[in-house]
Amino acid sequence: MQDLVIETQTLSKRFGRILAVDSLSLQVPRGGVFGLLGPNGSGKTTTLSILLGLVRPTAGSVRLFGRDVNGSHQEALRRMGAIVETPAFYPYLSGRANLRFFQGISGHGSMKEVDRLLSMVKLSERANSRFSTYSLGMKQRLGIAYALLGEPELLLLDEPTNGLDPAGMAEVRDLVRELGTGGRTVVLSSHLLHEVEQVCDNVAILSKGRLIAQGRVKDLLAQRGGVRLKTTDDGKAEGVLKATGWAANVSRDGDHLNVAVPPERSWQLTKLLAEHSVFVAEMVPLQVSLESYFLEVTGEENGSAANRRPS
Amino acid sequence: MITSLANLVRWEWFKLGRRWMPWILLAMLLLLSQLFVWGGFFSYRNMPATAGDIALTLGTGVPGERGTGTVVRVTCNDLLAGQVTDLPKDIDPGLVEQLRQRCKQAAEQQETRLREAYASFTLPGSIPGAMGVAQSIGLILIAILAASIVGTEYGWGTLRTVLARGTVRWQYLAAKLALLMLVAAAALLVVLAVTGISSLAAGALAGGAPSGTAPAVGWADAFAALGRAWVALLPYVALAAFITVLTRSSAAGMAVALGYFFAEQIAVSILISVFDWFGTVADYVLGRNITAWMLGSQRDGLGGATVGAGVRIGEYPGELHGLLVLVAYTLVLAGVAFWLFQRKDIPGASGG
Repeated sequence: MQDLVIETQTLSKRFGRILAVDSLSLQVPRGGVFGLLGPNGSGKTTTLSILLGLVRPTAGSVRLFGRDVNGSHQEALRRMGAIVETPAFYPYLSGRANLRFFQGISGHGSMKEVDRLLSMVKLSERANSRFSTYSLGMKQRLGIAYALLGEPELLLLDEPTNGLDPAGMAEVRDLVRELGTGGRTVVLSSHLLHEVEQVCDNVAILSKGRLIAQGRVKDLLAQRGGVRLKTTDDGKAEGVLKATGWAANVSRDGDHLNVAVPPERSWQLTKLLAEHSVFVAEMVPLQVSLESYFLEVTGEENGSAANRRPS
Repeated sequence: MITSLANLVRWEWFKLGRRWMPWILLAMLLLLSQLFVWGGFFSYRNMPATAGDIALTLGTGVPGERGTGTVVRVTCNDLLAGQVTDLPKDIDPGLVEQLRQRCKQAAEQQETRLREAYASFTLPGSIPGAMGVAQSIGLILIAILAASIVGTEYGWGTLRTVLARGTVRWQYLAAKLALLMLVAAAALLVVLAVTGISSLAAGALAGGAPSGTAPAVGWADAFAALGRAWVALLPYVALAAFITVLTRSSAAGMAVALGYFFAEQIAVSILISVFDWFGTVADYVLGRNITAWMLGSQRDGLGGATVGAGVRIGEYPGELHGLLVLVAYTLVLAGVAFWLFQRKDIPGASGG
C-alpha cells in the first residue's frame, strides 16, 4: 500500500453558487515534489486552504499523514509548512521579527534557525527592514523561509515564484527540487507548466474544481505519447492503423504519419504494417510536453498533434 | 493548554508592543486623566477661601431680597469676627444676627467645598476621580485597540499565516482578548501611578490641607475604583471583538462600538422621556449599567445628584445589577465572537 501524506475523498467546497472544489479525490505520495496544476479559478488555492484548515469543506474528508483530520488539523499542521497566495506578514515588523513571531507561536525554535533560513532565502541583508518595504520577490522569499520554519515534513507552496524575476524563479525551482529530497514532500501549486514539469515527480491536474488527471509525470505523458513514422506507403499505412482500434489516432504531418500509440506497443505497430506489406523507413518517438498534455486534458488544446514535438 | 495560551499572549505582546497605536492611546489616556487632577488643582487655587460677601437691601429686612432702600454689602469674615463698621447704626439687631447665621452657614459650606476640592486632586481622593475619567475615555480607546488587534489580522491577511502554523483558533482569539484585558489593567495601573505622582506634586504646590474633616475616601476606595474601571471596560472589548470578527473589519468594529457608545446615551434619554416603560428596558442597556457599576458605594450619598443625560443617580440600577448585566454582555458577546471565529472560513482563501 502506498504511503500517502495527503489523501482526500470526494472533497467539495461550495461558496454560495460557486462550486470551487468538486468531489476531489487526491492522493499525494510521501517524498518528492507533487505538482498541483490548474488554470486560475480551478480550485488549487481552495484545496490547499482546506488542507490547512482555513476553509471548511462542504463535503468529503481529508487525511493528512494517514490520519483523518476531521476539522482538527493542529497536530498535522505542526508537521507542515505552507504559503498560500501572496505571503502575508505584519508590515510594521522586520522580516526577522516576523519569522521570530511565527516560530514563537509554535512554541519551539531558535534565533539561529531564523537566521539560517533568512540566509538560505538570501534575505540576511534586509532581515531587519520592515516587511512593508520589501519587494514582491523578497516577500515571496520570506514566505518560503516561513514555510520552512520547524523543518516540516510536508510543504505546501502556492505559486511560490509569483513576482520573482527569471533568476529568482530559477533559484526557487532549484530550492524546491532540493527540498523535495530526503523524504520531505513538497506540494507545488502552480499554473506555470514548464516550472512544474521541471521539478515535479507527480502531478494532479484540476479544472473547474475537478480532478482531471493524476499520476507520475512520466506515466501521464507516456499515455499521450506516440511515434512519428515514414513508411513505404503512408496512405496504406494510415488505413491499416486506423482499422486496429488501439492505434486509431493517426494523422498526417507532411510526409510523415503521427500515431498516438504507447511506446511499448511500437513493435506491434511495425509487425502489423509489415504483415500488410508496408515497411517502416523511419520511426521517431513523439514526446508530449506537460503543457500540451495539460491543454489537451483540460479541453483547451486545438490540434493536439501540432503541439507534439520529436524528442 | 494554559502554557500554550500564555505563550500566545506573550507573542501577541511581542507584536503589540512594537506598534505605535497602544502607546499613543496610553498617552491620550494619561493626558486626559491628568486633566482631571490638574483641573481640580487649578479650580481649588481659584476658589475663595472665605464665605464672601452678602448683599443687604435696607427696607426689606431680608438679605438678598429686592427692596426700595440702600444696598449694603457685608463681608462675612468681618461680620463673623465682629468687625462690621459699614452697617447703619439703627439696623435691627435681629437682622444682624440673621446675617451672622447666614454667613456662618456659607462659611461652613465653603470650607466643605474647599476640603472636597483639595481631596479631589490629592491622594487618595484623586484616584477614584482619575479612574472614573480613565474608564470613560478608556471605553473608547480600548474599543479602538480591540478592533485593531483583531481586525488587522484580517486586513493584512496574517490570520491565514498564523493559523497555517497549527495555532488553535479559539486560543488565538483568547490570547488577543486576554492581552487586551492585561493591557487595560496595566494602563489603569499606569494612570494610578501617574495620578499618584501628580497628586503629590499638586498637593505640595497647593500647600496644607484646609481645616476640618476630609471626605471619607480611603485607599480601599481608590483601589476599588481601579477594579471597577477595569471591569467596566470588558464589555466594550467583547463588543468590539464580536463586531470585528463578524465583519472581518477593524473599521467596522471601531465604528459600531463607538457608535453604540454615543448613540446609546442619546437614544436612552430620548426614549425615556417619550415612553415611561422604556425606563425598565434602559436598566439593561450597557452604558447605564456601566454608570451604575462605577457609582458603586458612592451612590448612597449622591442619590439626588444627576449623571449623564440628566438622569438622577437614584434612578440607575443597583451596583450588583450593574455588575451582572456587564458580565452577561461580556460573556455573550465574547462567546458569539469565539463561535464565529471558530467556524468561519478565513478570507482570501476562496477561488483560485
